[in-house]
Amino acid sequence: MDKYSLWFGNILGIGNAGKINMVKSGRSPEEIYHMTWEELSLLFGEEQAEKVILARKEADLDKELEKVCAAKARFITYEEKDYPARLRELCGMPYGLYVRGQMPRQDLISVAIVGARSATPYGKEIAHDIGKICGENNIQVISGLARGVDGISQSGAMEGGGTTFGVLGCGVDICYPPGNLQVYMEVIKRGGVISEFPIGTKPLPGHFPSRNRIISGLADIVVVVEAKKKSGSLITADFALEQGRDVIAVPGRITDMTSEGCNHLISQGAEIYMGPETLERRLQSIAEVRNMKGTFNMESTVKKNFALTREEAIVFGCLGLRPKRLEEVLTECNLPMGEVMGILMDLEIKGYVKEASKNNYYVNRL
Amino acid sequence: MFGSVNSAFIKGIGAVIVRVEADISNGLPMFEMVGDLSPQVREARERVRTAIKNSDIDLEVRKTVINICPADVHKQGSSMDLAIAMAILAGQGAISSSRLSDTLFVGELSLEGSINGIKGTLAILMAAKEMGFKNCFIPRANEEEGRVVDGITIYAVDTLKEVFDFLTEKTKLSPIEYIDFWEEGRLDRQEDFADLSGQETLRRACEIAAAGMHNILFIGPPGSGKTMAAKRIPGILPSISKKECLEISSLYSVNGMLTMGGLITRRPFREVHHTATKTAITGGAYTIGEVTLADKGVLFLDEFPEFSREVIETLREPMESGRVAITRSNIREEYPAGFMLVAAMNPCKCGFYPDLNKCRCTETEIRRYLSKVSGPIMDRIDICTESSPVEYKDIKSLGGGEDSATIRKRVEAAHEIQKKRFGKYNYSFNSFMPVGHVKKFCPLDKECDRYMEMAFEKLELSARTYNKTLKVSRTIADLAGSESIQLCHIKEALMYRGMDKKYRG
Repeated sequence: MDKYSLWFGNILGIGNAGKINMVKSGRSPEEIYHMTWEELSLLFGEEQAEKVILARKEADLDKELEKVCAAKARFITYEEKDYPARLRELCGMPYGLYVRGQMPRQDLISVAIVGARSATPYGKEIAHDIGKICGENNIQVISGLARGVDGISQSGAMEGGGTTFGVLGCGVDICYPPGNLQVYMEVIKRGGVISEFPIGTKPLPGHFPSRNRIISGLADIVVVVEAKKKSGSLITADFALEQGRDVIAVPGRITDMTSEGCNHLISQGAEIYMGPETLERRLQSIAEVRNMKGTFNMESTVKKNFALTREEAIVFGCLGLRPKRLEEVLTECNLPMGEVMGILMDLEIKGYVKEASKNNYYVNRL
Repeated sequence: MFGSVNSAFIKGIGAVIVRVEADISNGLPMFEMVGDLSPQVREARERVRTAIKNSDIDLEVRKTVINICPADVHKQGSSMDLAIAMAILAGQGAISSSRLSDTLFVGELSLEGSINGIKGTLAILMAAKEMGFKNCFIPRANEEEGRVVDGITIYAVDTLKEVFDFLTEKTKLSPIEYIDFWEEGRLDRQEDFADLSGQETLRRACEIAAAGMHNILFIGPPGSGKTMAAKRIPGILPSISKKECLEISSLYSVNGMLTMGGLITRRPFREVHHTATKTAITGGAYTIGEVTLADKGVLFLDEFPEFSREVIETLREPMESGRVAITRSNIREEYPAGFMLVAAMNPCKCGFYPDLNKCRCTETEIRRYLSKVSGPIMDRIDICTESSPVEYKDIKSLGGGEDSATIRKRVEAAHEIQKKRFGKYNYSFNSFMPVGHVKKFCPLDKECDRYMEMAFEKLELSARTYNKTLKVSRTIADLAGSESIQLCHIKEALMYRGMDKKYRG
């Protein structure tokens, strides 16, 4: 990282492709910085030369560099070998990326897990499960560190002992949402947070769709866990298709708005997620193509059987991953109220059942 | 010449008996009133003068001085108009004041000489009876309130002339008849729990809350019967005694809130809107607060998170002591405020969480919404329960549930048990148990103790929630008539714990 490439990466008015073309011509940012107007206009045309001159006038190179260092971040440009090879082969990718921590490794498979911020307990559980099995199988999890599915899948990945990377819609020095601070710090330690936006950039709504192209770009497979019809997750899936990545969607009930997007993807030909084995099959074939060795064991983590009494089983059977009201449970299982309450309490204390909102229960699969 | 009669005015929530003196003497014609009077009382001068004139009674053109004693108590209200007129007439010698020493006059005069109704008649009559007065003249408009006080002769009158003629023995008046409302069973019909369809868990929670006088919070989507259930809680609390009834009615009479019938025969239910000010809740120099109006009954706060923190904080003192102290520059009073708090809120801002098909809130919004009610006030709410939306089948089976009378019997039994238990102490309900007594009155056997320990860790309970759970399980055990707290009581109590844990994600 040198101050000239940092300056070059932030020139306004020249697009990502433009910048990459400029350096592909063999001139380093440092050389470009020192060129005269004549040289510049001869090489890159008058329009771009103007932009360079303008950017040169305003720039305080050392100060910018200092800002990046102060944020304990690095700026990795297209020319450096740390720049992810997965992005290099795509067009429209940024000239340089800010990163805190590491960049994803090229020799490991990456899976992007994206989904709704306001996910249902079902979505959260599935996101957590997928994240965890990826982590356990040394698969890098790429996501957006957002609320809901993103953050949960990433903490799941770290729980499983894997690495994970967050692509942000703001500067890498900003944790958004603030509630995810713990995950954010952990991700920096165990993987990295990545952004194309300069240090200190605020998380503006317009930033998020464009960072989605990097999420899908960094991944080999994109898993969409829960998505509404118009959502960032669907934008990610669109990018994934353009970039030639596999898309797997987790199906939901047709009546659930949070699953509309996923079901739509499936109807459009995305692979349907039927459980860890779906992912396993996909990963296996990618591994074969890339000549990677190693097998994936996707079964180990999910608990399935535990000892329940007959009555407990009746109550437990009423519950699913959607929160259910106590009142509904009562009607369905047809046991005395006191008994149902007692059983629910037992199940909650044993950790089989969780309370989503007051007296709304769902099955906890962890 | 001098004349004096007795009267009363309302101060705070009670009546103050005063003596109105009039002195008529030679001198320049004038009309002077003294005795720490508020403008309302001072204005009586014009009302009284004109009313006497318009009643065809002679008013002597002489120097008239009125004094109302005790002279150092600030007097307000229009209840002394009639007495002022009578004192003047006695001073003129038109009537004999010696016969009036055990008689009390209250009523506001109109210019034409008729007598208008006043606030607080019941309170005044009860005070008069206590002071040993034999006769009372009250406005006709307050006749109903007069019917329920016995042991004192009460005349309800329409005009000043009527009183004058009676006292000069020109006509006869018959006292109003005492009605023993208690014997007659003139009790108001209340909203009944039988009207609440379905909602088994909500009913149960209300019953437990009433049995232990626990404050309760309903969480549920709009239209799930939170208000409906709250309105029915006074009806399952033990019926009020005659004494309590008179106390409540007197209070409402002072506030001019007595409805037809002259008595409040049920426990009060006060619903407060979230725009209410602090003074409206606690009361102030000139108003009685909602906490006092809800005394012996239920104070209902709908849209609980919308209340300002300041307003909620003012509830703490009355919730702890059952009384509210009002200290202003001109008064220093303590009023009763022993209410049961019933609060209701939505599970999130839009009200539909966790139904994500309808709910539009983000997790942060939900957390922010819930955090509005956290803090000291939540510590005083023992029971937290969900109200679920009413379903079609419930509407069809309308009125299938138990009625309030049946529930009330069980609640009354539980209250009896508690009264026996706390006989020596200065409180009588499980919810008021101080922390030190929780260990003593809620002993757990080994099995229960182990379960609580597990719950404490797994559900991340706080020490306060732990104590609240024990108090509620004590009440559940009392309702079941069980001497000791059993495991099933604890489990149920845990279901009612507050939402003090964090969401994941």
